[in-house]
Amino acid sequence: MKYSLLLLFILFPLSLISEDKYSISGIVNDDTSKEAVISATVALYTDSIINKDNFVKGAYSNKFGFYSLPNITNGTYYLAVSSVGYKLMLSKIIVTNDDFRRNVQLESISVMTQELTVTADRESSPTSSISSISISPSFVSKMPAFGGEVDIFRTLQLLPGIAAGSELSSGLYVRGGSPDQNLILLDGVTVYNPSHLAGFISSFNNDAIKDIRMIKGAFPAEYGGRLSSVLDLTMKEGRKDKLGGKAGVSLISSKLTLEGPINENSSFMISGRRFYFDLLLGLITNDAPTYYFYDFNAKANYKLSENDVLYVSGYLARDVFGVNENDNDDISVDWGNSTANMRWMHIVSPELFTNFSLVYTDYVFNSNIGERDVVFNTGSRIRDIVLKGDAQYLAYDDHIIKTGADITWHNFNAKANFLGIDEIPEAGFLGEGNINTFDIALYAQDEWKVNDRIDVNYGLRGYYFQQGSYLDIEPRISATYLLDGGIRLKGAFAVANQYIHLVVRNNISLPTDLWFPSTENILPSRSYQGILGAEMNIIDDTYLISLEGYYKKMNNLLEYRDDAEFTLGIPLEEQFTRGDGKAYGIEVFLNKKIGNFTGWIGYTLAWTKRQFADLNNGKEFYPRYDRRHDVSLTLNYEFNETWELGLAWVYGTGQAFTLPTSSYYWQQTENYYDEKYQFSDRNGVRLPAYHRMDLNFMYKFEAYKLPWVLSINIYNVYDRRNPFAWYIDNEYNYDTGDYNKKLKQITLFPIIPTLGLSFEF
Amino acid sequence: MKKLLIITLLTITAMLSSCDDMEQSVDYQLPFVEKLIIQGQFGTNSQRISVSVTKSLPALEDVTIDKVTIKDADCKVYYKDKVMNLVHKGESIYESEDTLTIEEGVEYRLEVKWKGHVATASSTIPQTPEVISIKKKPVKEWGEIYHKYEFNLLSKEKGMIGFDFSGEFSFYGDYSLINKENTSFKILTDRIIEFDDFGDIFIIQFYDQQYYAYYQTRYEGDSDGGIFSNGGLNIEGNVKGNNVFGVWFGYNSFAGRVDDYLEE
Repeated sequence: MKYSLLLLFILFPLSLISEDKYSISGIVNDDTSKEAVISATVALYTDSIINKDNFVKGAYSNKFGFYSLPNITNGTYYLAVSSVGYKLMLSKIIVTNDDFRRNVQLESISVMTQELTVTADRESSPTSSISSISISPSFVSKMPAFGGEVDIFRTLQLLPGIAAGSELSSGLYVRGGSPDQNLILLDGVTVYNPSHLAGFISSFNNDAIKDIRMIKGAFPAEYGGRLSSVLDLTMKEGRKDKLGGKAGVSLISSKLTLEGPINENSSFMISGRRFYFDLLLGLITNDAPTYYFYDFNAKANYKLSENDVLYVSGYLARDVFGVNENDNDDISVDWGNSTANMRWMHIVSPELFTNFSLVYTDYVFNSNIGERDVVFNTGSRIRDIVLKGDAQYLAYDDHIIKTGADITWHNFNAKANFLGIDEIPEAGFLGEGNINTFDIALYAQDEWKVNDRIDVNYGLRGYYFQQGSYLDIEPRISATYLLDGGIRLKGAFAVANQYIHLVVRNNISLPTDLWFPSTENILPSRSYQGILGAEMNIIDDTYLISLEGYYKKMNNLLEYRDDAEFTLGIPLEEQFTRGDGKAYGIEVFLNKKIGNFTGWIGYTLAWTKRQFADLNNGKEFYPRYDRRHDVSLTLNYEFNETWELGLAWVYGTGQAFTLPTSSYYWQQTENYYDEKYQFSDRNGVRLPAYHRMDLNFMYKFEAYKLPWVLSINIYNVYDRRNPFAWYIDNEYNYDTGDYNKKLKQITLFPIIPTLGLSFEF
Repeated sequence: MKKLLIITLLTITAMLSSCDDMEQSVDYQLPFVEKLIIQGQFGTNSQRISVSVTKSLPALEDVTIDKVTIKDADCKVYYKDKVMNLVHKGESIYESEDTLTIEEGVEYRLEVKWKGHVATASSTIPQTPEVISIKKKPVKEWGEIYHKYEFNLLSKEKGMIGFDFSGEFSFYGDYSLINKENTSFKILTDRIIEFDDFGDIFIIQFYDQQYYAYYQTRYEGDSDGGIFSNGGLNIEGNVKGNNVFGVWFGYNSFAGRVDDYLEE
């Protein structure tokens, strides 16, 4: 914070030098809901017939909808504001010896009919497009959804460079990184383990989300703490015009979102979802385990003044699992996240935008196994308290300076106890482990428009992690160069460190997996990433085509040793082994954002490798999620006002898998011989390719004066039997009485049609 | 716990899959590499050296001793400046025809040749640590008093040590790796021992340290690898060569009477 203030102190006088120049600033909102519009293009012209000849300057709105055009001389101007999904808004402005405040209301329109008309030179930061994509929640809601359950993560898995670990997992494996290497932010708050159903469904309710931004690598200095990527989600603020909402039922869950004004200066949004498969299962049998999840998102904002808004948001997600074996012997497990965030947005001046947050996050996992009187209880918990401040300085035509600092107090707790038995003398080896630590992060970055062709974003991020006293500086730079013909060349380089690790025992991340902080023995993981690429808009700017190559080197990655022992009393730290990784590849992306159909085609050619001295005899190996070729196609087509189609097709090289390559005869003890398998190298065999097509037909109709949507989802349309795993089974032959070895495949999901129904009010 | 979560997940999956059969037989030829499999160990108490020589089969083929037996391997042991031929004695066993005195500190090098495969391994029997004293230590477990024995030892060479006791009621124990030479150290036997009387005998088994990696992984290669894990793991051997696998170790033994070393 001290550094931010110092920077402001240095920068303030500079803005006072040009006294005959003024700023035009304001907030861009949706005209109906009054929600802030993120990344709207704001351009200033000298004439109402807008073209490049009378263009003055441009900007884009930030996450709070705020924009600023500095250094404007007295005169008459035309302000053009536009964004995907909104009508161009043109308004006349007369600047006379003072800063000018103009809040803009954008009228939403269907992307089907939209034409792009604004061509500001700073239509969102060109460097922000490197390895980055924004997806609208409305697009996500139109994509086919498994069981009718719309899932942001499953849609993100369709982007080039992002792989699914398996059909069972919604985890994001971004450019060869594991899911814990993704910084997942919900309204600026880090969320640990953001999944339900042991990773099957992400825990973010799409109805509560306003903006989804994914940065696949070499992210700018404003983000940090993870090696691979950033997923930045922004919650809805709540509409300010009237009480409204959305409700929906699917095969496995129901959800409800309510939003509306509290008074003329404040609004709220609350959204909840409950998985009710346990209730359905309960109708069939009493013996099945109990499992359900629920999540809530809530946000309220209060406009203190024209320049101050207070936001309070919260998120709660819980999974509950239980097995009632009999009256005495049962199992219960629950886990989940909760976060709370109080954020104050303060516009100090048209040139200086700030926001400050106080954040609390809590990830908890608890299990109880045992009889009525004797219970074996284990649990882990991570609690963070974060104090954070960010500032955006917009006084220069060619620079946007961002700076910020945060301090985070972490509490890691793991415990194991026998409850109710005193007579076990060795129960003393159980107990509770607590690690309290803190980290401090500082960053500064400059989005610099060097000239009409070159844009650069450079910055530094500094970290101090108390546990182990690690102090690291991370340089970040990205640049674009505009060639004739509209081709934009781009490149980026970033160093990132990660001090908190999720070490996954197997390839399915479960809530039992512990987050573990760096210690004196566990060094922080570090990545070096380089990106080169090119992109251009084609066919009247309706398509974006992009080509990117990346190389990422990762050091000090953690895995469990092959001989890891998961026995209480043995420190977890001793079960890890340290190694390196690298990932490289090329991604091609063709994206259509507007018109009668939208969607993208992505292709990735990639290699992901790991090398650990203690694994696979020290030889390099592919992690299970390595995909040589990965193709994805998404399509949303609006036939007419009644019918709409969402389509997704994926193809991926088969998973890298470990399988026996021979069997042999082995003397186990003096008189005992056994048949053994000789396995391939770790993940040394490839399963067959994975491909699948999903469809979502949406039928829109009106009933009870409300707009309804009936979704007919068909998962795995052509019933492809995709392999989840292979194994060798000793199958008993009832005819011969012999056992025969058979290679078996586990397929998770055949064709599955489901229905979903939702309405808005 | 994890299994239960996975089972629940799969139950839900199965329900969503309309009770479709999730498991199918696959007609696929798994990659196969034929390997020469060697297994042998020898101790200072042995009078002959023997080794088992077999071959591996495709993973989906049933393994029987007939199918894996190799009768025409060329099998030799080199030690000091001598060469000893091992001859096929039936099933998979090759054995020296003449008797010999196996000595600690001597390198025994095995060489097996068969159809282009050449397997080599060497092992030297280490010198057993010297027992300085034994201390009897009571241990309370699950409300009962048992005894463990703390051996105060002086290592002479690196190796892997394990203990056997006669006339005992014991739990199974582990072997420990000794990786320092000429150093005194203490080992508390993991076995919980209740002697009938104090006339019991302890036996120290002291292996070539190469044995430790095998000992740690001896139960691997048993299953299909586990569909949710990183896959199956192999036993770690010390036999070298292209497409060969196996173990070849020497060990030493020392027997003593507990009474003679017992520290009051």
